[in-house]
Amino acid sequence: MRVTPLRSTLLLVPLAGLAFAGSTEAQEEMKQIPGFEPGRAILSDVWGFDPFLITKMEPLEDVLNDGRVGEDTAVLLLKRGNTRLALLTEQMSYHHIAQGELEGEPWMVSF
Amino acid sequence: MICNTGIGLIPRIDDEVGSFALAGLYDGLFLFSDEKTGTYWNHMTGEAMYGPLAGEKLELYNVLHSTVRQVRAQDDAALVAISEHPRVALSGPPGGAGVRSLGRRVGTWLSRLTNLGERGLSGQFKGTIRAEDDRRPTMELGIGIWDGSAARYYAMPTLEEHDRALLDTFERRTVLVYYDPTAYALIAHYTTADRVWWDAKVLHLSTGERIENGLLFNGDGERIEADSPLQVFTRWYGFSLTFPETEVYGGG
Repeated sequence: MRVTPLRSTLLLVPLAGLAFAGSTEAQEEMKQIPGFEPGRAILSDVWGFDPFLITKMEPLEDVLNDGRVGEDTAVLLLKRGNTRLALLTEQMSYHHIAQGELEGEPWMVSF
Repeated sequence: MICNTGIGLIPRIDDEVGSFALAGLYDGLFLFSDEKTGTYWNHMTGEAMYGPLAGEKLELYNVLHSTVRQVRAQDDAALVAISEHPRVALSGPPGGAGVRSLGRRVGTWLSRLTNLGERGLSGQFKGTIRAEDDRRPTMELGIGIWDGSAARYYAMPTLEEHDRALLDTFERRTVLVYYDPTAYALIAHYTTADRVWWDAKVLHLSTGERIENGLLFNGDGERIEADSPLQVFTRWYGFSLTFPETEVYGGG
């Protein structure tokens, strides 16, 4: 997957001089898509939600058998290649973002 | 999240894998940012809205609301990732009482979702919205589908009026939109059927296919994959502010 231009007609508005608090290499020029109004955006993580960086995946069958989930547990299901991965919906309502790798390819889920 | 929108994105920026985290709020929807450039991204469309990469876009894929039972029925080798973050770590039996049990039943999750809807948007969220689209109620649940710049919203009450399943034409293709009674979610996928009907919890299609327990089977009873438009099971305010030109099925 590549990051691609959003629209060929997109006008980017440079906002030189606006610093981005919290970014590491972000003293670069800030731009915005047409219509975006930074003045009404909250541009910081005031909630402290940590992303779910996935380093461990287990067979769903095992987790069901040991009682950590039930048959009716709500999940978000993604499929990459031939692999299906479930994320617990309740946990994602805290993390909001999960990120990992399946079949050698990166993936992310936002919720 | 309060808008209940789940979507998959490929976190690759210029051939590098980016690290993303929730970083802000706009139009009542969370923004996330990438660690390297600090660009703010729309979490539903994958569009970079503000920052050095504004105008770029991450590739999207569908994430479906489902249950453990449904996933196992699709794939007995399916995996799960369970967070051990102290705020959400699991302990105790599924669905048991207590903060850490997290109400791991889908019904409990739906109940929380409904409660959030009844509370409405907080002042913090409202402060990031210029003007809401009043064609539908702010917190109404529905499904939004899109293809390029074309978008359409199907409200949950509208689906109920159509006996929880309807056929529509979207971008010159027939799309089936239905309520999955086992996952408590709205689902959309393309079809060639011209008629659908329920037999208890099984949805039959005129093609001979059927949808049972959230799974699509062909006329021979073999499970098949559905071809689906990009979609989010979401709230009206989130979808309409993200896709302001969206059509609303049934008018509005």
